[in-house]
Order: sequence, then C-alpha cells, then structure tokens
Amino acid sequence: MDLLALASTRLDLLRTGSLAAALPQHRLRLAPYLRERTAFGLPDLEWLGLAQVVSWLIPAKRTLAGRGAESMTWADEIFAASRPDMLLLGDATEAALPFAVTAQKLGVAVVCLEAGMPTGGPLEQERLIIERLATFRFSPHPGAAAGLQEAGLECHYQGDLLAGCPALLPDQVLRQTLAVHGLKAGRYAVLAFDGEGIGVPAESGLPCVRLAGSEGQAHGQLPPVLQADSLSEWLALLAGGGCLVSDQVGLCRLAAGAGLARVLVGDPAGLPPWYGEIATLVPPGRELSRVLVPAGEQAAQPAPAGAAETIARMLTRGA
Amino acid sequence: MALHIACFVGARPNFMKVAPLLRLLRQDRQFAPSFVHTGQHYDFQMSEVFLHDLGLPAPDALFEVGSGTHAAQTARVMSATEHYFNRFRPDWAVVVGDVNSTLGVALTAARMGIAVAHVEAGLRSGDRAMPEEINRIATDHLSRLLFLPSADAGENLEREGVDRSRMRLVGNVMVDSLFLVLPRARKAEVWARYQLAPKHYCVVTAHRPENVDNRLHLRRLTDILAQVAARLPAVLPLHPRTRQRLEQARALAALQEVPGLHLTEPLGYLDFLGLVDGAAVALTDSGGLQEETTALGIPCLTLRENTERPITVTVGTNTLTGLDPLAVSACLDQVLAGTYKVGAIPPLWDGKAAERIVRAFTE
Repeated sequence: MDLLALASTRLDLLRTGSLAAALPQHRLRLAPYLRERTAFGLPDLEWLGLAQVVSWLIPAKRTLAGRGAESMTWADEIFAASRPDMLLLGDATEAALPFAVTAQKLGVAVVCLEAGMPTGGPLEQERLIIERLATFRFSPHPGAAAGLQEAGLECHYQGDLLAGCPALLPDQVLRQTLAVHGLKAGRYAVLAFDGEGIGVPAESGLPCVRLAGSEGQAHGQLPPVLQADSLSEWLALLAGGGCLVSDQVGLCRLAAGAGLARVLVGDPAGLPPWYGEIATLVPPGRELSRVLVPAGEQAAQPAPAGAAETIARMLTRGA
Repeated sequence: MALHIACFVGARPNFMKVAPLLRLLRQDRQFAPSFVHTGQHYDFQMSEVFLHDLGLPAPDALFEVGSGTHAAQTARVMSATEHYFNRFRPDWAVVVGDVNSTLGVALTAARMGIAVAHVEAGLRSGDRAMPEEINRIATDHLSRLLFLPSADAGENLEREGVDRSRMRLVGNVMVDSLFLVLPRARKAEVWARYQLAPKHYCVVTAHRPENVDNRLHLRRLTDILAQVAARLPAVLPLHPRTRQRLEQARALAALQEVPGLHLTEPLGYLDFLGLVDGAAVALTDSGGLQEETTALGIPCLTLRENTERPITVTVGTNTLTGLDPLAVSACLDQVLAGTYKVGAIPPLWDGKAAERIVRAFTE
C-alpha cells in the first residue's frame, strides 16, 4: 500500500510518524507543507520513520486564497507523479481541502485522522468539507465520533494517535533534552499557546517554560521560549513536564499520553463538552494558580492502547 | 449603495442559469451586477453562440483559464478570481452548477470573506466517482445562500447538516431561460435542416467520461446509437470530448455511416432547444437535458446509472437506462407505442426562479 501524508503542523508530523511506525511493510511518504524546510527541526524525519519526502511544499503566495490555488496545483503534480492509494490528512490547514478535493477527483482515498474535532479557526468550514469528502474517518475521541455519526457520517474511534506519540520518544532524547535545559522530569509547567487570553500561572509552585510555537498573547510575566532544534526535542520538552497549560486541544492530547496534568484555555461555551474529558477547561484570562494540579492527579484520557496499529490495520483492510 | 453581485459562468451549462438572473439584476437599481466568464469553455461555438442566443452581454471580465486537469483548471480559476476580487470586491459571488469554475470561485470567495450564493444547490448523485459531485458538495458547504431547484435538494443538504436558514427553494432557473427562448427556438424549425419530421426523431447527447473514456462503454454507446437509429432517425451533436474519443477508438467513421444517424457539430442553445422540442425522445448522459425534457414533457432516457436530478425521474419524463441496450429498447418501444409515462412539471419550474433569487438578495 502506498500512502501519502500531508503534514503542515508538528502534530501532523507526529501523527504520521506513529502511523509510519505501525505500517512498516507499506510505503508512507510525506508532503511537508511548511513555511520553511527547517520549520520544525525536520532533520529527525528518520526518527519518525518518514525518511522519504515526496515533495517539499513551501508556499510562496502571501494570501490565503493564493495559497489555495498554489496547493491545488501542487496536489495535481504530486498525484500525477506518484499516484498513492490513500491521502492521510490530520489538521485542517490551508492545503488540506485543495489536496482532499484533488485526491477525490482522482479516485485516491482520503483518510481524515482528526474527524469531528472542531478548531474554531478560520478554516473550520473547510474542515467540515474535508470530513464530508473523506473516504475513511477516524476520530481521536468517542465524543467526536458520536457527533459525526449523528450527522450521518461513518466514523471510527480507535484511540488517539497523538496520545500514543510520547511513547515513541527514545528515553535518551528525553533525558538529554531535559539536561540541556536544566529541567527535571515532571517538575515544571509547560505553556503552549497561539491565541489570546492565556493566563500565566503565578503560584503553581513549579517553574514555567514556554514551548516553541507559542506566539499568542498572555497575561502575566511570560517565561522565555525554549527553542527546540528538532521535533523530537520539542516533544521531549512537552512530555517531560508536570503539567500543560495550552489553548490547543491537540497538545493536551499529546500531554495526556505523557501523563501530564492539563489545562485547556478556551471559552467553554464554544467548545464541545467532551473536551472536558481531555483537559480541565478554563475560560481565557482566568487566574490559573488554583487549577494547576500536579501530574498524576488528573486522570489521563482513557484511550485504547495501540491506536496507530489499529488504524493501520483498518487502512490496510480498507485498501 | 447598490449591492455588487458578481455572477460567474465557466462552462456552457452555466450560461442558461445565469442569463435570467443577470437580466433581472440589471433591471433593478438596488443591484450593481457584474458578469464574469472564467473561460473554462473557451471555444467560440461553446461560449459565444450561447451568449448570443441567451441575450447575455459581453462579460465584464474574461479569465481565459482554458482546459487542463481538474485541479489545474480549478487552480487557475482560483488565481484569476483572487485577482478579480482584489480589484472589485463584490458583496456576493454567485456561482451556478457544478463545474470546476463553480468550486474555484466559491473556494476563493470563502477564503477572502466574500459571501457565496450557489444556484442549483443541493443536487447529489451519490456517485463520488463523478468530479462534479465533489464540486457540488464542497461548493454547497462554502456557500452562505443556497438556491434549491427542488425540495429533494433541500433534503440532501439537511442530511449533510446544512442549516435550513441558508436555503431558499426557488425552482429551476434554467427553465426560466428555456421558456424565454422557446418561441424563437420553435420558429427556427431546426429539425428541417436534417430532413426530419417533428416528433419523428430522437436527439442524443453523450460526453461523460464514464461513457466515452472507457472503450468498452464507448462501444456499448455506439451499439445503442445504431440500435436506436435503426428504429428512429437520430441527431447527435458531437461534444469535442466524444469526437476525440471516437477518433482515438477509430469508431468515428463507422458511426458516420450508421443509417439514420446524423452527426453534427455542437449546436447553439437556441438551435439545440428547438431540436429537443421537436424530438420524440432524447437520449442523454448530461444533467441539463434531463431537466429540459422534463420541462418540455419529452421522454428522456438517461444513459447513466444514477442522477443528481431524481425529480426528473419521479415527477418528470426521465428514465435511467444506463448503457443497457435492453432497457433503452424497452423504453423506446413505449415511446413509439405512445405508452411511455407522461411526466409533470415539478413545482416552481415556472419560469420565475430568477425572480425568487433576486427577492432573496433583498430580504
């Protein structure tokens, strides 16, 4: 089986990596859609089992609409050059819908790995279309799967690929990364956000670090950003913490897999109620010192083990 | 200030859907409409004649995107549309039908925050192998206003979770064009050009990839044509794609020799409508002709396994035969014996769909 993964975010790369590890006898290639080739420290693609990049997609157009046209042209060229059996899509980023449409018209199956997960972002409408067009849908949470099934879309819940990613991280990378930054495993709080209104925990009793990719606005004194030279280092900095405060549910799921306590900052009225099973929901701007809890006190999301293996098996059968 | 409504066309079937709408918008001072042709069908016969027949003005903008793969064509439409929107920034982008231009314009408009209105929304064949089906789904979900030709389209959209508040049941705008042009089309007596008598011939159109790109299916199609022409004279205006596939399969010369079968170049809207109106029966794989025959009360045998216009089957004169020669033959028996079903005209296919659309923009 020949699979192509479009990856535009760190989480996309991690998801793809976990599937690649579960599909050793199949070919899974990567089309990274990134601002620059070194955006996420991609040299460790080999660690992810994704050594083969089918094409680098570095957008040149400055507008969202222009990048849509650019993405569609790339999709056409990539599918013409290497007709995969399936296109794997994770986060609903700006290249995702053009790739999904092109794939469907060419008879390439579209696999949606983040089905039913609202983003609230500007591409939310396109995310819904991708779900509608997808050939196979996998939801990372039973609540998301139930929502899609209610909407008449067949959807599978086989666990969360992201929650399984920290387990792929070699111990040595984790230890070395924490040592370089002078951090103790489980004894620091991680801040990661790209929106507005996150509160910096003032009295958590834990030192705070800010993860690369946290360009949003916050209240309080922000700690400096910890730069990561590679994706594995970035994951190590997250997975090594004791708790996470973030406005991104994907990061909370990753943190759940590493056993961190989690606070998701966002307007609870605008989030699905089952997000509360993934993290403690806190409205923007709220004082966070009281809601931060040490690792272990908050139950990790109950996710079946081996999501990547199960999904890989189902995809193989589907093909 | 007048509402700027940019109406887009790309391919031939789009023209008759935009024409009545554009005419009404231009008559109303509340609106400042513009007419944009993406140039997806750029052939003179395919575009210019249709514009003339429908009384459409010259486009305010012509993109000349031309042909190519689905994605390449859509990408060119998107780039050109972005450029246009940057210059003129309309309040609404009106797209029609299900061609690549429809999706390209809708996607660009949605990404630029320009409201999209889709005319002929909610149609579904259920066949994802049809590129048009992908265009329909994506365009509908990108649109703020959805103009439905029939109630079943609204049910399709509801099943996909689309809010009713975005939908307006307006009827079939193509029928507006048909009723407007029909008197002129009848007067032209196009059938006489082929030495045919009214109601004693059939009209055939075929161009869909599943019928002409597959050699086996193309062979079945030509067999059916020969079978039909042996019983009833037939006129087949050849779509460029079909001509090309017949030539590649070295089947064109043989088809030209089939007794009773007239192969012609593509016809203008007026001539084609006149030909259909005078026919005893139509065989087709196109979507528009299924609707036109239902509006005219002429039997239609659709050479497909499914249709995105089921109302033409349940209410109208259409029957899905696929490329099954026995099914075609059985229907033809009924047509010739005068026992073929008598269809009705679906609700709101009354020539006033464009009026309802214009009203929706002022609500």
